[in-house]
Amino acid sequence: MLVESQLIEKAKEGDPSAFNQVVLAYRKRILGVISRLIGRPEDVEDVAQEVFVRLYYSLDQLRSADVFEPWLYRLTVNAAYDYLRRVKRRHESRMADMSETQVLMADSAAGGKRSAEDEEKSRVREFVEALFVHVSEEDRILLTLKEVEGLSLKELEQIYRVNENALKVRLFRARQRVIKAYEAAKANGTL
Amino acid sequence: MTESDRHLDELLLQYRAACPEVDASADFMPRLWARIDNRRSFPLVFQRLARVLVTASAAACLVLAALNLAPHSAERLHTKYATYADALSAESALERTYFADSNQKARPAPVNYRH
Repeated sequence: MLVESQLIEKAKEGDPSAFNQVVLAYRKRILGVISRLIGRPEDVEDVAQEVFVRLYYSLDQLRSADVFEPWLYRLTVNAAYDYLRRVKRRHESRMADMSETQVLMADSAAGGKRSAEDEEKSRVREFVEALFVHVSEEDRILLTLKEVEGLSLKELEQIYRVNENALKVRLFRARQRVIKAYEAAKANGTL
Repeated sequence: MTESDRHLDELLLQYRAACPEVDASADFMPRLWARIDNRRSFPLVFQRLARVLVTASAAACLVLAALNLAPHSAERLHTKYATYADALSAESALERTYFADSNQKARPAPVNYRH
């Protein structure tokens, strides 16, 4: 844990300075997770704030400080889901859904020439996001939490409140679909 | 683990490294507290509205009850009769007359058995 259990207990009792410290400790991590879950940098901070507002109002329901992190991840996943649903309703197009030309135009509009390293990073991001299109939004989030964020099955079990075997099956199927898409991309020479 | 599995693992590691670090803006905390306060005041507005509605409905109940009672009492006690005792006696006298009338009408005509 990034903070002591006592600090969480204090925040739970309504101490604003303790809550501030908890937010400051977890802010960067939550921003990173949200950024990878929603894929829209301009909205990351807004979703992160929503997570911490929900945390503030639900902290009194936390059973013990030991389960704080899964609790926070759960709030993060739920806020990301809500955001993605809202975006879907608004029919907004994501960068990943744009054509290559649109992406290039958006990049050039963002200004400046990118270095070779940035180009490579951007290529990797686009490729992985294109692979994730082959799984559902829920599976993409689960796969990201497990494979990219590096959460253990035990942690995922606490976040999703689903038994480990069910999660294993779901992860396996999602991964198989991504591998299939990866192999197809390799065969087509798009890799 | 197949070769594709291994490649995918490597790719996901590269992906993690390729994702840009997101830093919070300078006004992250003030904006967060503003949102928290805003959400706290939202139920308060409803509480106030509910209190106003309860008071208004209680007042409306009282007004309706008063309107319902006022005409009857004025008519019975003040317009027709001077006192409540007068009203009662008049009512019982009316009942007696009605009873006597209905008895007379219901009674059959006397039969003359002498014929």
